[in-house]
Amino acid sequence: MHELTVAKALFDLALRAAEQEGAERVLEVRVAVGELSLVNHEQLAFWFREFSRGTLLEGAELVIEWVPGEVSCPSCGYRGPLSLVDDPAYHLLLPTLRCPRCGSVVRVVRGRDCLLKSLRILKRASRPEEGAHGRG
Amino acid sequence: MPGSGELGGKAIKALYLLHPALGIPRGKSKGVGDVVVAEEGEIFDIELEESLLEANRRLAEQNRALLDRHGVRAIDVMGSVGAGKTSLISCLVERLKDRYRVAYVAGDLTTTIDADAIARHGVPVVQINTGKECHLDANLVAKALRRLDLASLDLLFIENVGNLICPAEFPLGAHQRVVVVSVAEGPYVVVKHPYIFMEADLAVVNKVDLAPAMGVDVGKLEADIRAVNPAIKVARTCCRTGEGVEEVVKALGL
Repeated sequence: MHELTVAKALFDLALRAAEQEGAERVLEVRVAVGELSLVNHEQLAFWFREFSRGTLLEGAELVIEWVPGEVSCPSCGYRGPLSLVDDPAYHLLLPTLRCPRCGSVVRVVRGRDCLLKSLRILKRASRPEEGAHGRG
Repeated sequence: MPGSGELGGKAIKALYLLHPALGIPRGKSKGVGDVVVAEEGEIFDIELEESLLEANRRLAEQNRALLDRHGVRAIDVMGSVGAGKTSLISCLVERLKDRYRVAYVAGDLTTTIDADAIARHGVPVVQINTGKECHLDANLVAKALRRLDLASLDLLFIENVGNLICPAEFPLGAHQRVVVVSVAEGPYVVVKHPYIFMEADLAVVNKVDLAPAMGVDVGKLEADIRAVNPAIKVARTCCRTGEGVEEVVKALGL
C-alpha cells in the first residue's frame, strides 16, 4: 500500500526533471529498488502508470533495477550480503542482522533505499530561429 | 547547449541517440550511402540518483531536531491492529506521567478511539487520521507536533497505524522504535514480517496470558525476533493486567 506514496514521489521527481529539461516525452524511467526496502515492484509500476496518465510520463517504460542488500560488520570487518537463517521448523530462510563470520550485529550499508536513477527523454531539437540554445 | 544542465546538482549527460521508433527522417542517398539526420527528436539520458524515500527522511530529521531542541524524547510504537499498542502506551503513561510530562499522538485511518483512551490519563493527545494511508509519515507527525506545546513536554508516544510492513519504511524522527506483537497473531508473525524487527530497538510480546490458548510458544517467538535482529531488546507483557510493563520501562531506559 505504501507503494502509492513511493510512486507519487517517483512521479513528482520524474515529471519535474522532465519539465526542467524541456522533454516532449519521456521514454524510460529507471529506478533502483533495494532488496531491503519494502517496495513491491509490481505495485510501484502499477501506481506509476496510473499517475502518469495524461502527462509527459505517459507510456514511459519503467525499468526497475534490483539492488542487493549489503551489510558490514563493525566487529570483524565482514562486508557482503545479508545472511539468511535456515529454519527447518518453518522451511524458510529468515533474513538476519547477525554477522555470518563472527556473530556480531551488522549494519545495513546498501539495499535499503529506492532511487530514481535516470530518465530517457525525447526532446525537440533547437532550431536557429528559436535561438541557438533553444531554452527560455 | 542541448542536453547539458543541472538538476538537483547532478550533471546531465546527453546521448544523441537516434531511435528507430521515432520516425526520424533519413536523408536521401547521394551516392555515399544513407545519411541519418536527427531533426525533430533527440534523445537524452538524464542522470538523477534521487532517493524516493529522501523527502520523508529529511522531514524525519527535522522532526528529530525540533524534538531535541525542546528536550522531548519520542517513541514510535508500531505493530498490527489489535496487538496492544494502545494498551501498552496506556500502561506506560499511567506509570510514567508523574515522572515525565507525557503526550501522545495517535495514528489511525479514522476514529478517535485510541486518542480518547489515552486522554483519560489527563495528558495532551493529538489524533492523526490518515484517511486511507497505511502508515504515519514524517510530514503527518510534523503537523501533529505543531499542535503540541513541546516546551512543556519530556516524553512523546507516537502510535503508528496498525500494520507490520509499511511503517518500517517511514521513519518519523522518533528516538526509539518499538514493535508490539501479540501471541494472538499466531506463531509465525515474526518470520512472516521480519523486516520491521530490523528497524526496531525494542520488541514487546504482548498477551502472553493467551499463549496456552493460542498454542503459541512465547520462547520461540522471542527466538525468532532475536534471530532477525540480535541487537533488539525483547519484553513480554500482558497489558491487560500490567504484567511485564516495568520491563518495557527499563528496556526503554525510562
